[in-house]
Amino acid sequence: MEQMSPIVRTIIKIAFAPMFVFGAYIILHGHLTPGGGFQGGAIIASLMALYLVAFGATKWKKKLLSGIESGGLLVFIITGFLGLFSGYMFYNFLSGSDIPIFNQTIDLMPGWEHANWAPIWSGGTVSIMNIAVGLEVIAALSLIIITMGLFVFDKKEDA
Amino acid sequence: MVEWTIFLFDAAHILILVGIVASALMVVKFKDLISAAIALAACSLLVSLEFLILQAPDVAIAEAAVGALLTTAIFIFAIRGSRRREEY
Amino acid sequence: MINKGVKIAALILLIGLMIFTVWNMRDFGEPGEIGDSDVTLYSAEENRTVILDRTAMDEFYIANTQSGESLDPVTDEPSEEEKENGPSTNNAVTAVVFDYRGFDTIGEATVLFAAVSGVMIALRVALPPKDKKKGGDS
Repeated sequence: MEQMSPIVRTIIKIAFAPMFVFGAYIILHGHLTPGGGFQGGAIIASLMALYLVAFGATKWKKKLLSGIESGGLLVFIITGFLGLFSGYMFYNFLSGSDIPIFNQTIDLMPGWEHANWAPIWSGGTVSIMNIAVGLEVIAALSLIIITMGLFVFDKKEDA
Repeated sequence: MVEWTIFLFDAAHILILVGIVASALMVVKFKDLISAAIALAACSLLVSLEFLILQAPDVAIAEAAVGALLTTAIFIFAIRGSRRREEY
Repeated sequence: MINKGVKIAALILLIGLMIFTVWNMRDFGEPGEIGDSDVTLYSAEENRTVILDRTAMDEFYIANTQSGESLDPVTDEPSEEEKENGPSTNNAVTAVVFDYRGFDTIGEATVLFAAVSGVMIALRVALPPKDKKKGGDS
């Protein structure tokens, strides 16, 4: 499939890094600010759609994307079921524990019943699930877009 | 001061609602299917602004990314695979 | 190929885990009850402040989503009350989506997986772009 005009390509080149950083920010800060895995993944996947449309790229590593998708889903489900050892499904066993993965706790300010800020290294399993679902959504939506786009344009070239 | 800000807020709210209805009508009325897809993207973007006004930023982000970009890309792929203009 | 018995055993194990999960889910708060009301909003139309009522579910989230941290100082284990407490995230929506009702999110992620599988199976003509023999429509 053909490339688009140099104006479009230049603008996509300029906007690639800020959009990617914004999507990664939405995913990684999912436990602090509005957003989460699905939202940030959709942003990065739309970036992939822009790249596909503007550059007409045909060589995509579909095996790698499928692996990322299945791996994200597996990590999510396993993290959820690991909470059963602490008593509840999806129990947040990492928060405040000794395992140094997202284990900081939120210090409440005196006089306030809830805080409006929190350290980024907090959240426990919620942060891990955010990242896993983010990777899964990136891979899934990119695969849908890439497969449909390549299907349409390959058929166009054949005819 | 407070009354002015509340008035502006309501005015923006009403404008967004009118824009949603207008762009949705455009989607139905357009014979050029790519124009209809772009109008659908505009409708989706306005709906995401409406979600932001209604204090649901999570849904607003998801709606803006999925509705305004991904579905538009899929519709444009589908239109490129078939004919561009609607016939009746 | 995996043996058929292994498949059936895995399916039964999964069904059992999911039934156990539904039986074992966290408490969700009680919607509908009016808690204390300290959210105020100025109304320009009537020139007075409107007091919005927070329900008991709002109170539950505000009190619990940010305080899942503490272990019991005596037994050094999470107490029964702390287990029903929150996941210690600052964002209450993420707390609901990934912790209180993470079971729903499993369903959502599985739906996405099934959608991608369906698209790639239905359009597998375009799967290998450099592959010459395209076996679609046959």
